[in-house]
Order: sequence, then C-alpha cells, then structure tokens
Amino acid sequence: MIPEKLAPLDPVIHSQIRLAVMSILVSASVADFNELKAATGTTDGNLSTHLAKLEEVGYIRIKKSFRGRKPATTCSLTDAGREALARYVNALESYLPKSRG
Amino acid sequence: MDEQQARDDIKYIREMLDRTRRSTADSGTLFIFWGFWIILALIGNYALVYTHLFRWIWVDWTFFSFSGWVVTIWHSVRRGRKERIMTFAQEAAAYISFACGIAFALAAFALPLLGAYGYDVISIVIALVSGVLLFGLGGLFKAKFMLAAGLAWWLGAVGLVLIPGDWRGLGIVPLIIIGYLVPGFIFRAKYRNGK
Repeated sequence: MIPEKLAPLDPVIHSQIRLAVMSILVSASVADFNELKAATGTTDGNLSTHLAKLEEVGYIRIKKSFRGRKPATTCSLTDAGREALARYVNALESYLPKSRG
Repeated sequence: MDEQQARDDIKYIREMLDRTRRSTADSGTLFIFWGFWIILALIGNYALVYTHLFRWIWVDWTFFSFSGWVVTIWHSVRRGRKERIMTFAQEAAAYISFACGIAFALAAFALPLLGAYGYDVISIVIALVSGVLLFGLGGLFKAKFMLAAGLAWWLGAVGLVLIPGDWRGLGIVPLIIIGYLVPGFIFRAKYRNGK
C-alpha cells in the first residue's frame, strides 16, 4: 500500500548515476574520479556530465590537481548536498508503506 | 516512482555505502610492521643487556623508533597517493594514529629524559597508549577484535606493574602479539577478501 501523501523527489538526484555518486560521497570525505567511474560503471564523458550537474547545483565540490604528473580529479559532498540526499531518502521512504508497529 | 522503485533506490544507496566501506578497510600493514619491529628492538635490547653493553641500549631504541617512523610516514604517504577514496572514519583514524604516535615518542623518550619517570615504567605507559590506539580504532572501524585488543593492552598495563622492572620489556611481547600482530593479520585477511 502506498501512503496518500508522496514527497516530491529531487530531480537532480533522481538519476542512478548521480544517486550513486551522492551515496558514495556521503560516507567518504573525498573520492576520486576513477573510483566513482568504477562504482557507477559509466564512461568518463557520462560521469563528467553528471558530476558537472551536481556541482552546478552546489551538491558536490570538484577539485582538479596533479598526482605526480598525472591529473587527478577528486569530489566531495557539500553541506547542501548532504542535506539534499537526506531529503531524498526521506522522500523515498514516503513511497514505502509504514511498518506496523 | 512506485513502492518497488523506492525500494530499489534505497537498496542501491545501501550497496554504494557498502562499497565505500569495503574499499577503505585498513590493510593492517603498519600493525604487523610495528609488532615485528618492536620485538626486534626488544631482542636487541636484551642482547645488549646480556652482553653488558648497557650504554648502547639507547642506540637500539633510537634506531628502531626513528627508522620505524620513517617507514610509517613513507607507507602512509604512498597509500594516501594510491587511495581512491578517503572516508571520514579513515581521516579520524589517521588523526588518532598520529596522536598516539606522538604520545609513544613522548612516553618512550622525552618524559623519561626529563625525569618524569624511570625507564622501567616506559612499557607500562606504552601499553596504556596502545590500548587507547587499538580501542579507538576498533570503535571507528566497528571491529570487535580491535576493541578486545585495546582491553588486552589495558589489562596488560596493569599486569606489567606486577612484573619486576627489568623484565617488563619481555612482558610486553605477548601483548604485542595479541594487541598488534593478531589485529594486523586479521585486518590483512579482511582487506584481501574485500578486494
């Protein structure tokens, strides 16, 4: 049974790749591009697009640097991103029937 | 979005959180290294005592401590570069480990040199700090075997008081095995299984 009142889902997070990125970053202070790519199983270009979208709304912070001679991109969640993910999970719960207690 | 999709999304979030947790398990390398390194230093210590070369004991401990620090810093920097993800628990663990490292240096060198206590008390203070390190890390990584190792160090610290001063160094060996080597090997096995 689905409750009558359903909370709206944040359209920015409501995409499997962006949800994966946000879920990883919520427990990691920093994650690098390759780790996110491996976790989401997507391509460089696709992941970059999703990361740019999350950065644009202020949910994540992207830092580009160098490890030795290799370029390294790392991402971290902002406070706004953390709050947005918490809201998203709460909204998801409104789609589930309340457990009988 | 329906109920099933919501369940799938929540399951997906959990999977990602689990993935992060698995990918950041400690390798245990430094515990194993320090366990063997201190045992080697103790063997050196007692070899010098046995051969009546007491004045060289400080060289033994300075060499093993300093070289141990160099290896620890080198390993930590190298791992930090390789690490593709850093969790808050790992960050906190790094701070606890560094803080205990400073406490070890103060307890083993600075405080006895300043006359705070005699050299026979060092192993007791080291055991106390080791208990803080293991118990703290055990709490962070939710590892019961490390919490138990922390308790073992504290019990050991009390037990060391009952051992005559000259033999306390040997009394700490079983504690190193229980409190460093065993947790180190358990971490190593978990780390390899998680990869």
